[in-house]
Amino acid sequence: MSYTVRMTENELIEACLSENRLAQKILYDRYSSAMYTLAYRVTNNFELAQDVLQEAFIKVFKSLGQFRRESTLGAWIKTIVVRTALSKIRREPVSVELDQITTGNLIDWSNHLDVEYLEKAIQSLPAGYRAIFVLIEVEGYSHKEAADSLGISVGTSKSQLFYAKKRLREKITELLDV
Amino acid sequence: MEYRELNRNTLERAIRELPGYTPEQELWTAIEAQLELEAQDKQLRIATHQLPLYSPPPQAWGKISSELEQKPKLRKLWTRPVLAIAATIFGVILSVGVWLYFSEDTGAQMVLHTTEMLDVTGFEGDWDADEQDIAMVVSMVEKMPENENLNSLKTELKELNEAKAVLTHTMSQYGKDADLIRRLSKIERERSKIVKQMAAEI
Repeated sequence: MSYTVRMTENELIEACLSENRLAQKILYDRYSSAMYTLAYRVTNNFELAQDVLQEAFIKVFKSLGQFRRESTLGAWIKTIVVRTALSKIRREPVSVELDQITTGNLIDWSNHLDVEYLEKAIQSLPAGYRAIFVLIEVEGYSHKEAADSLGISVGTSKSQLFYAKKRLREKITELLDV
Repeated sequence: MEYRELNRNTLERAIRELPGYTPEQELWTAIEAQLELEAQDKQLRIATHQLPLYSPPPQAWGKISSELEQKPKLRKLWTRPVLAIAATIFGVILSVGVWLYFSEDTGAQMVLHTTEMLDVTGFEGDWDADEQDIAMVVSMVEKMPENENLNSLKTELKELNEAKAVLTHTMSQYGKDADLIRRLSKIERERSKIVKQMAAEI
């Protein structure tokens, strides 16, 4: 058991490819929290996030042979989780309530930002805005990567991120005022 | 889209501090169960592909081929709806006509003829029932002085007895065929006739 826990990423992948259940569990344990958090941030629903995680890990184990090791295993799994999560929320209309967003191209985050308020504000975002904000600002995707994942253009990705941030800032202000 | 962000580092710090979440413990159990099912399906697929192939016997194609040659292709007569409707109407008219014809009292008599095959095996006689009487007549005839008529009758009876013996032997070997029974009956009638003539001589 301890030997298995100390496995390198390559050893772990090889063991998973031979359908070693213990190795699969170790891989799951290594990435489950990060991927579950990501799934939750994208879907904004814990129950849906569990479904996403289950579906994504099944895909991971079934298609691990296709992993070309051009990125880290974590990055590869993240791509699968993001795609699975996005497929769950795509049916929700991405509402662009431009009239509700104040004009101006300056966003001031001030000197202090309460994490709890930021979390609530992210949860309040429409699905499309939330996805673009999570992928780019939280997960570190480039606009190109985010655009590819969401099936939108880079220009749309950029504008949606701006509107997402504007909306987020307004929501945090609302929460502070309450 | 160009825009400016003031105090961006505040946002970045807050993002780094966002909480993480852990899925329920049971989720792995669900994943494991699904993986188990997938593995079983995989095993089943492998086993299915390894099932043996069977070739039909060589004569199978011969039978199919000869059947194909024998039966000419039937033309579909009622492919057109109009023809099908016309055929249906014609059939109905014909049926009504036949029914009307036979339902009228024409005074004609209908003769029914049937043929039934009679199982003669059930009518076989007891061939040896009269043997005692025949033997008695023959013994009496033997004691009489010889004459031409009696000698002729005795020879005829002897031939009939031999013929009967052959027939009964055949029947015991190959079963009671209707034709054999018919011939045996004829022999018995002949024997009765001869014995009657002998008795008349006494």
